[in-house]
Amino acid sequence: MPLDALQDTSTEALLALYARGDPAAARVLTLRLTPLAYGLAYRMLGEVAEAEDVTQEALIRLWRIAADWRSGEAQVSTWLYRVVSNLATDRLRLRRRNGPTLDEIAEPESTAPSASDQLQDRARVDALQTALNRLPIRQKQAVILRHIEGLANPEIAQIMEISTEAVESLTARGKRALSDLLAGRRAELGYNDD
Amino acid sequence: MMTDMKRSKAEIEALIVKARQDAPSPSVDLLARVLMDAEANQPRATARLGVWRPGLWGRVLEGVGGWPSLGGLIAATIIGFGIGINPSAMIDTPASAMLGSFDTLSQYDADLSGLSWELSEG
Repeated sequence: MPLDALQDTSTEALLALYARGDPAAARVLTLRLTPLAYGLAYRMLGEVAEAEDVTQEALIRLWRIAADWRSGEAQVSTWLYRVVSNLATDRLRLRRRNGPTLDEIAEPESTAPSASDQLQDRARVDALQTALNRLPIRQKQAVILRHIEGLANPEIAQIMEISTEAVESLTARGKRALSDLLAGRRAELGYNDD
Repeated sequence: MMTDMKRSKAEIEALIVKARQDAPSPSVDLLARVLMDAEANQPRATARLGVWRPGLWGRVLEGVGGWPSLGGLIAATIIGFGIGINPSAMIDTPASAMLGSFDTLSQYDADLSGLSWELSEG
């Protein structure tokens, strides 16, 4: 099937086409799902090479189960978010066991303070990522899925395999912790008290 | 204090919005690797689309000319086998049905010989 004809096709239908050997479906799925997986992996891990490894691994798992995918049971994106979350969580736990604590990990190189708005925006995004890296894993996961990926609480509950109430609690605590972590950097990030 | 909290909350919201707009995007190299994996793990189209490929017997059947030829071949084989087992039965019986048996012919001979006797008697 031509690529253009597949752009509006649902991800689940594309996966069915992929499983029947349609080469165009493989290309469209790659372009559609890789950014989704990589975005979450990078936010969770804060590091490009590891985020790429997790993305590749999660998608290999999807390709391998495509032929056995049960239509209507779960959304492909929800399944993928869950696999990426689990793989990233495993790596974060391993890091904590074997390596330095998150507080000891060097922050991304900050370009602030700067007169340029663009550089200041970059510095603010980096500061948020640094603060995210310091949250407990489950809080970080919930905050990223809810506030950055923009998912609804019931979907996050499916991904994290917890109740919706637990998601609400994690996101609220995570956001408060982010606020505390960033409070000391307000001036550096160009926020004034006026 | 309340103003500080509100301000802090607003700043966090703004940061999150900024982060959402500034989503990390995968490199071209990663996309190429993922696509390579997708193609390597993709089920083959022929197997999934159910395109029929003949097996051993199918290919043998095609070799002899399909089902019509196979019907003739089976009939010829049965007849040949029958001739091999009992040649006279397989040849005589159809021949008798069409031409009559030797016994019937000898009856005609007897009648004919009777007629010649009457003729000779006058």
